[in-house]
This record gives sequence, structure tokens and C-alpha cells, in this order.
Amino acid sequence: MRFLRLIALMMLITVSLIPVSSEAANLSYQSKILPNGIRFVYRVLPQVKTAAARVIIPTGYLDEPRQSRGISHLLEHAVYRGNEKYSARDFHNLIYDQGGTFNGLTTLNRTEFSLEVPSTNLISGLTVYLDLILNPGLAEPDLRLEKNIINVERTLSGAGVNAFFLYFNEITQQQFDSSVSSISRESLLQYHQDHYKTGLLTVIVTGSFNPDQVIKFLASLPKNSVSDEQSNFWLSHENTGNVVLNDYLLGEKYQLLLGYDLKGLSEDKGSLTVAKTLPFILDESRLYDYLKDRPLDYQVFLSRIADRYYLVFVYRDCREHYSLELNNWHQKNMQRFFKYLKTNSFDKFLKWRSQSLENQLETLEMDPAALNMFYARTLFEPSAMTVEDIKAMRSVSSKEIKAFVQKYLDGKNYQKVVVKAL
Amino acid sequence: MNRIRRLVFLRYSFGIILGLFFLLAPVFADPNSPEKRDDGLVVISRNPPKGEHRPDQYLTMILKTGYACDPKGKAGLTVLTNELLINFFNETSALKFSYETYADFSIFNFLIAHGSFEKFCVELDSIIRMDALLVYDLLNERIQAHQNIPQFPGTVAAAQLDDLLFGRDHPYSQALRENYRNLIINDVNNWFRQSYRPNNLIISSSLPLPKDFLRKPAGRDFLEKVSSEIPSVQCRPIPEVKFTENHDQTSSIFLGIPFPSLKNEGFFASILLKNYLSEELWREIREKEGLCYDLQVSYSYLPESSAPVLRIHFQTLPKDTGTGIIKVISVLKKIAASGVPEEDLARVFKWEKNQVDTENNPLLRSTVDRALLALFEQTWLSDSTQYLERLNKVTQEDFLKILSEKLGSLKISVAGPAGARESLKGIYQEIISLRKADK
Repeated sequence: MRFLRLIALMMLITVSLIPVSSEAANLSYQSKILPNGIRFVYRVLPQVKTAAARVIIPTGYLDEPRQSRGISHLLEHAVYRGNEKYSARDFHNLIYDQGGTFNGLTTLNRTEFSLEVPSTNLISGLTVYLDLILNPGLAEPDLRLEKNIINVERTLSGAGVNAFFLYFNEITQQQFDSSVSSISRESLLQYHQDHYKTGLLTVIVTGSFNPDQVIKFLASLPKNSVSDEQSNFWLSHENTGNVVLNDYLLGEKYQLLLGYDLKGLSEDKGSLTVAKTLPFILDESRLYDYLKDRPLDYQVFLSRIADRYYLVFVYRDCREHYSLELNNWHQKNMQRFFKYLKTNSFDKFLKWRSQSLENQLETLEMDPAALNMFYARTLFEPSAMTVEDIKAMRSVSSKEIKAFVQKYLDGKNYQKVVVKAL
Repeated sequence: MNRIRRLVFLRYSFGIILGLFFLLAPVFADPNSPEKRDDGLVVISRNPPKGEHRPDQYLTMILKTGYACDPKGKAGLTVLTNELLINFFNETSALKFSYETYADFSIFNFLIAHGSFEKFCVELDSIIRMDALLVYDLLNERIQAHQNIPQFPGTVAAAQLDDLLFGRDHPYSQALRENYRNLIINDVNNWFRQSYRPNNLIISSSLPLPKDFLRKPAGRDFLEKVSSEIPSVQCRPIPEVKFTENHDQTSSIFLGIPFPSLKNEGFFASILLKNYLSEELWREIREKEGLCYDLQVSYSYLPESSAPVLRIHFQTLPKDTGTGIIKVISVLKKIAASGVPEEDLARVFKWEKNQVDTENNPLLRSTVDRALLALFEQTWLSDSTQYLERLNKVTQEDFLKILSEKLGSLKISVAGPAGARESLKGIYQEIISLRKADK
């Protein structure tokens, strides 16, 4: 009897020592290349009532010819103006009447067309959407209207000036300047023919839907041959001079950007996760300058352009005009950040942060549109946090962080962009 | 003797039946019915069906204090207090949360893992029962962060519109006029102690709350009733325009009309009217004319529940400012004269129905709706069938009535460069016609 009690006790102790592991977020997706070249990425969520779709063309601002800068953005707008088969109102009403939503986005390396509709209407929505995307009308009166709309969009409060874009504009030698007004219908048509090919498309669908039906529909789209294209983009690595600009800054006295070119990080895979954790660490650092009575509330993010990674610090100031004194203050702040990174332990924080990010990822399974956006970022933005990065975050050591700072940041030159209010 | 036995039997039967009634009453009680406790806390909890297995649970907390309750000279106090509390909520076991500080109340929504629900309730309980927020450094940081938020022209135009609608000194106009430099830690702590009391809270949850939730003694007064009287709005019943020149490349335009509150008969027509205007103005101003990039139509029946406003907001190039405004006024006048086309009315109703039918997270939705039901005491808030039925009963006369009563109080606010002022000259005829129509 005593022996049995001992066994029972040992079993109890053993069971209590087994760690209760939380179920990690399962955000894996399926991926297929169809005969016409379309890459179909999908995840079925049977518990929801809608389906979200995203059609991605891998062409954006960085791919534009110098004489037609802004062309990918104009094309994105023009798609929604309809074609011979479907007017702008037809598409709008089709989606609206189903209680759905749609949107378009142009960014550095891609153009996205997104949609969310009740599950039963996915195929009809995609049918019309893809027809507009692959066969836009591009009527002249519509193009005139969209050029005006883009002019308003570019000057909108808060969107008109963005130190991040100005920084990249400098290192790409004004690749983001817009010459939309002078773009002709012919060049727009040619650009569309060159880039909007089924062989280059990625279609991401998440939610409640029948994948076989979607595959059948996508596979029925005509195949377009894909030629070896030369990107128009070129990056000037040697331009590390500082830039001072003047522009409309609404309510702000100046914006400052300090960009560190993390040369060699693309080949140093082990350090990439470390780089991705730095914005989280610095965001939570809450460093404060008590002499100046100011928080060091820089926006910090990791960005990738072409084959290079950049760690970018952006500061916006509503209170003081830019001066030499402030310039020195910002330089000192960079040293503060690096010292903070080198001398503190972040093990507990990174474990906590990793767990909280995993928890948040779990909630994506209830939201088809959010999950869809997550997949798009993971596939097209190497600097974005993936599920694997979030897991790896908890084992990034303070020693690795210190080594990273010493190798890539400490004592390194940075590109400085100052935008002063007009 | 038989008669006595019969009486005894009846008496005991009656007692048993009465006992059974009180015992079983909670089983048959309306699960949507808020329960007001003796300490003033209003609780509305769902009893999950037996055998339900789900990983996610929800809790919505309404604080019956919003930014319009800020004491005079302390605009920003409620926003700041809520922001400081967020830091404590960040440390709880909630997976995710969101919050809004509206004029009359603040609302916090929490997503909690099923297994952590009780733990979260304990955490929330201890946060609310705190004596004080000992967060001097964080307070300083938040105040500094607010000082560094730019005043965009859109903000200037929005604040100007609030002045026209509510009056410069009305608490509703304070949303965009916080002055955080006036606030110190004592203000925040006093406000926290005064506002965060059971009698000022509503909790709606997808699981029953622990029995001792907010029952443990607190080191401060939990009993005094919180009073927050917001004066009524005196909106001048005439159309008005205000322009502020600023250094910008576009004009920020706001139009506002006082609209019915959600307890008012005209509320359901207002919902459909707002949806219709979103579509129609997008069509007229962006699609047909290419005048704006983004156009927003909003109806603030929750954010400004005592005096809601229909707001129309967009931005244009300075030369198009007057044209854009005239387009909006002509659409409004057309509806005021002949209502909403039947085909479009059916379309906007169908859109509302689709929102209900395709809700991906009905448990979150119902938790929030029950909290709002407890606040506003309107049963349709947590009954989508009732809500759609009421929407379906809206007629053309309802639209005509709202606009004939309200359009004469249209307010227009513009912030833009000097070129926009020139363009505004064309709208004065339209304004005069609104005044004449009102007469």
C-alpha cells in the first residue's frame, strides 16, 4: 500500500513538473503555383463568415521609369474606373451590395488590390476585380480625374511630408518624385502590359471559402508570358551626405531622420532576428532626457530597400525649430540608445514581448482581412516580423544585441535628413 | 381535522412553490438584462451554453465619464487618466484590448483567453481598487507626448466646427482643446479616485464575473455617487460658415448638422441617411468630379451621445473648396426636397443587414452591445432582429422631416490657404438659400 502511495506521489510530482505549453499560433498557409503562373496562397478559416482576397502585382515605386514616376500609383487608381465590361459603379455596387469592402495600395515594391466579402460572394467578387485589374479601361477623362485626385492625395496633411520617404527619395535620387501629370495613356497601357501579367501575380485568400473553386477560377485566367525584366531602380550607396529640405510641415517645426545602412546584414542571417527585435526594445525603452525635459520618442523601424537593410530613427518636433544645439542633442541620443542596448539585459522583456506577440497572432485567425495582410507583409517585406522571428525573439541574448550594436551601429555613419517647415 | 390538514398542505405547497420560484428564477431570467448591484455596479454577464468550448472570451467595461466631464480648466483629464490606466491594462493577462474616450463615457474592450478569464477579472479588480496611480514619470511622458502632437489644419477645422455646433465653452468643444500643461499628478489621482467607482461602471462579459468582483474593501470611498452633468447644447438654428487661413497646400473642409440622438425617433432614419450620403457624396465629389481623395461621413451617436452630429469631411485643392462645398449642399437639398431614391434606400438597408449577417465575431459584438444596452437602455442595441426591423420601417417622410428640421442649422468650417478663401465666395448664395428655405 505504501509502495502504491509512493508511485502515485511520484506520478503527481512528474505531472506537475511538465510545463504547460500554450498552443502556439498556427498561421501556416498553403501555396500553389498554377499552370498560368499565378501564385495562390491561402488559408481556410471555417469559423468565419467572410473571405478576404488580395491580388498583388510585384511592381511599385522602385520599379518605375525615371520619366514616369508615379505611374504604378496612377495605374492602381485607374483600375477602379472600370472597363468596357464593368463600369466603376458596377464593381462598387457589386461589393457594396454584399456588405463588402475593397481598397488599393501602392508601395515601394508592389501594388495591392484587396477585397473582403461574404464567403458566398468570393468568386463573383474576384471575377469582376481581376477583370478590372487585368483589363483596365484607362479612358482619358478618367485618367484626368485620377491625376487630380492623386495630386490632392500627395498633399494631404500628414501624408504630404514623410521623412522616411524623403530619405529614400534622397538615396534613390528622387525616385519618389511624381510626374503623374505628364504620364500619357499610351505609357500607362505599356506599363500595364509589362507588369500586370498572370505569371507575376500573387493572390492571397483567407477566410471561409472553397479553395478548389478559387483554384479553378484562377487557373482559367489566360497565361501571359513573362520576360526577364530589368528593374529600373538603382540605389546610390555612396550618397551618405546630409540633406536639409524645406517643405510644408503641418503643425511641426521640423522632422529629422537618421538612417543607418546595415551593410552586410543581408548575408548575416543570424543577426537579422536581432535587428528585428531592436525597434521593439527601443519602443519600450522610454528613455527620457530630464535636463531637456523631453522623452526620446523616436519612431524606430527596420526597413529594406533592394538588397540593403536600414535602421531608421525618425523624430518629429512641434516645439522647437531645428538648430545646431538640437542637432547635437539628437546625435547624443543615438549614443544613449546604443549604450542602453549594450548595457542592459532584455531577456525577460523579450520573453514577455514574444509571448504577447504570439498571443496577438492567435487572434488573427478570427479576422480574415488582418490575416491576409499579415501574409502579404511576410511574403513581400523581408524586414517584417514572421511567426518564426517572434518565436526566435525569446532566445535573443543581450550578448548578441551588444555584438550587433558594436558591429553595425556604434561609430558608424548615418544618413541624416532634416525637413524644416516652410 | 381534514380541513386543517388541507390548509397545512396548501401552506407548505405554497412555500415550496415560492422557494422553487426563487431558486429557479435566475435560470429563466433574461440573460440580456443588466443587473444593478447594491454598490451601483451594473453587470450584464452571459451564461455560456453547456458544452461550449471556445478559446476566446470578452469583457467590455464602460466608465460613465468622458472628456466632456472634465472639470473647467482641466480639459484632457479624462483622456490622460485613461491613458495612464492603459499601462496597467497592458500588464494584465488580456490578449488584446482597445479603448475609446468619448464625450459622455469611455469604453474598454478586452479579449481574454478562456483559461485566463478569472485571473484577468482579479487583475482588473485590483487595478480599479487602487488608491492612486503612482506613475509620476509616465504622467510626465504622456504630457510631453501630447505637447508634441502637431495641430494639423484638419484639427483646426474640426475644432472650429465644434465651436459652431456646440458653442466655444461647451464641454463638447473641449475634445480638441486639451491643455495638458495644466494637469498634475494630483489632478489625475483625484480624478481616478472620483471616476473609477463601481457606481460609475458597467461591466459586460461573455462569462460570469467572480462573485467577489469589486467587493473587497478599497482604501478609498466607493460609495459616493459620481455626478457628471453636461449642459445642453445651444446650437444656433442658422447656417454658418467659418474660415481660418493656414499655411497648407489643401483645404480641410468640415460640414456638420446636429442630428437625432439614439433615443430619438429619427435615429433609424439618420443611420440610413448617413450610409446613403457616404455613397452619394463619394460618387458626386470624388468619382464624377475628382475633387477629393478621401471623403468621410460620420454620425457621432456614440462619441457625442447627448448631441450627435452628422459630419462630412474631405480635403480639396484650394481652388476647388467652394465647388466641393456647393456639391455637398446640393445633395443635401435634393434629399430634403425629394428624399432618398427607393433603389438606394433598399441598397443601404441591405448593407446594414449584411453587416449583421457577416459579423465574424458575434460574441465580441454581443458583449459590446450588451454594455451599450445597459448604458442607454434601448433593447434594440443588443437585438439585431429588432434593430433591422426598426430600420426597415423608415420611410421617405422620416428623411424629409430630419432634413427639413436640421438642414437650416448646417455649419461649415474650412481651414486652408488664401486661395481657398477666394473660392468660398461662391457658397454664400447657397447659404442664403438655406436660410430662406428655413424661414
